[in-house]
Amino acid sequence: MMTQKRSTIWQWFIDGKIEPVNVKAAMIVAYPHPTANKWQLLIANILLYLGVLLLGAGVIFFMAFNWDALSHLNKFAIVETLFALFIGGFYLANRARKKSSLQADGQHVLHDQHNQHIQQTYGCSLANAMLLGASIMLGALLALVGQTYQTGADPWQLFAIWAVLILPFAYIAGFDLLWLLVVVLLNVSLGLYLQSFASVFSFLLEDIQQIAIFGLVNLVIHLTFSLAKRCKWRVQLHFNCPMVEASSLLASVSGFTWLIIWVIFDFNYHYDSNEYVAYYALVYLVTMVSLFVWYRYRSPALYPLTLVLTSVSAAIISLLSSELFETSDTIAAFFIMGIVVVGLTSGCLYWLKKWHQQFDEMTMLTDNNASNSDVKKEGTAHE
Amino acid sequence: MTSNNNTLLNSRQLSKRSLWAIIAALVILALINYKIFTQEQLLANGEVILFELAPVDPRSLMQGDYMALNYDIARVVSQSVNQHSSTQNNHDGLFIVTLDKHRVAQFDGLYNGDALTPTQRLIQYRVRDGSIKLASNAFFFQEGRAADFEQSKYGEFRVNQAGQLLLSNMIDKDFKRI
Repeated sequence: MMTQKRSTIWQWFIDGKIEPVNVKAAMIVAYPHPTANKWQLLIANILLYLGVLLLGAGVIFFMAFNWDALSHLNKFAIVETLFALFIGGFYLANRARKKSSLQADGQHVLHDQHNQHIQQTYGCSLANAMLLGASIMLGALLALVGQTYQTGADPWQLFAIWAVLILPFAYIAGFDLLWLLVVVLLNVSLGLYLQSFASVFSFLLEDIQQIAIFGLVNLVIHLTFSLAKRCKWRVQLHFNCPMVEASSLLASVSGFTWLIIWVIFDFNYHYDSNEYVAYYALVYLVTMVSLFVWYRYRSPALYPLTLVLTSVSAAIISLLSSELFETSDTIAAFFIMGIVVVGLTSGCLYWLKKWHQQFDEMTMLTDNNASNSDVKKEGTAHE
Repeated sequence: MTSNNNTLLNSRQLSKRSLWAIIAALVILALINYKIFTQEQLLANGEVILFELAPVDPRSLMQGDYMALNYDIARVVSQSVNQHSSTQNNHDGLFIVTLDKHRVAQFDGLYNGDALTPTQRLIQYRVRDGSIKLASNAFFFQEGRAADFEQSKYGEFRVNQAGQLLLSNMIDKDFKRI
């Protein structure tokens, strides 16, 4: 957004619509420098989250060091008290915000303030930091219970229970870091589960199937978040988590890429499970094509397209190398591979740049439409 | 974000969020404390049963604050489980032990629903990755006490009627708690 605005102004300057003396002023109008207030807010937030994380780590180390000095119930009491304090902190922070919102309701609420308010309610805020702290304490408490009563429960259960129990907090906060914690816990739990139960099912789950499961699960997580965000209902604000969307997509595409590379190198002409291999290749192709179509035409975004192109390039390279290195002439194979790599990367870059421009134009158009409709709305409101 | 005036949270919604967070927290605490309570009950009222430890190779697996455990009985259970080849690879099950005068458990057989004699007890076991697990296969202790626990010869468990196990102490060769 910022670079786009800057380049537009630069364009106007080139066209001679802005006097050389005024360029700097125009830039500052289009993209104001952050005020001291904004810097303070940023630093305060960073310190707040660091503080919460360090406090959590501190409690865990304290327990480990004083394992024998504290009785079972004392240990639980300490962690549970901290958990309750974090929840109390959430309540207090929420109440303070309620007061300020009541005051704001009395006056005319400016659009900017309004956005900031949503940011404060669903993004980084003191209240949500408290929920994050409570979630970390909960993990410490679960681990403590597990270690104190050495029941030897399977490790995946700890992470799964932890993820499930903090779901309400993540939903209430609608906050990137908490949802990210949930998603990471789910992935860890899945990995540990597959490690200990891969052979429970009637057939043996091979490594390649486990990778496929990872890819699919993360894809489902990505779809859940991006679809929930698109829906026009109140709940969408609870799922507005760009970080979770981006990282689950990255995990999913990496999983699928790993899968297809495995398939390519494992492909064996006189192996009787060729059928399965074909299914994996099909799954990969269908996923990549649908991701591409969706993010190219339905909801244009550069990041998913970059991932898809990278994945496809990796697949092409491995297909080529698995074929070429079986021939005797390795030097020629390296040469051809080099050329293909150069060709693929420059082709991808060219497309990405082109799409970038197109998407920019589209967003500018929609922005104009949006601002027009806003003006209309304001107009009707004033009438 | 699309500008949508409905998204402004009013004070009632904020209090609702507080309320839900507090309810969630209470439910979580209730669940965990109930779990703690049942485990404490088992520790306090469960019957004491000792399992002889089998040396874990290498014994220096101790990593400061925990040691890996293996039980003598696990070998026998494992053999018995392998004979019933129809069973799945990873599963949970029950077996029967008799207790001697020091309450040390001896393996009798896998449980198949028969009535128990007065000296027999049910024990839950789990098979993971081909090895038998009795409750925990690790014992956690405070950093720096590794030398004390090298003396341990038995693991002391608390067991209830259903065969649920909790590892509670390490016992040396003279049947003293470490």
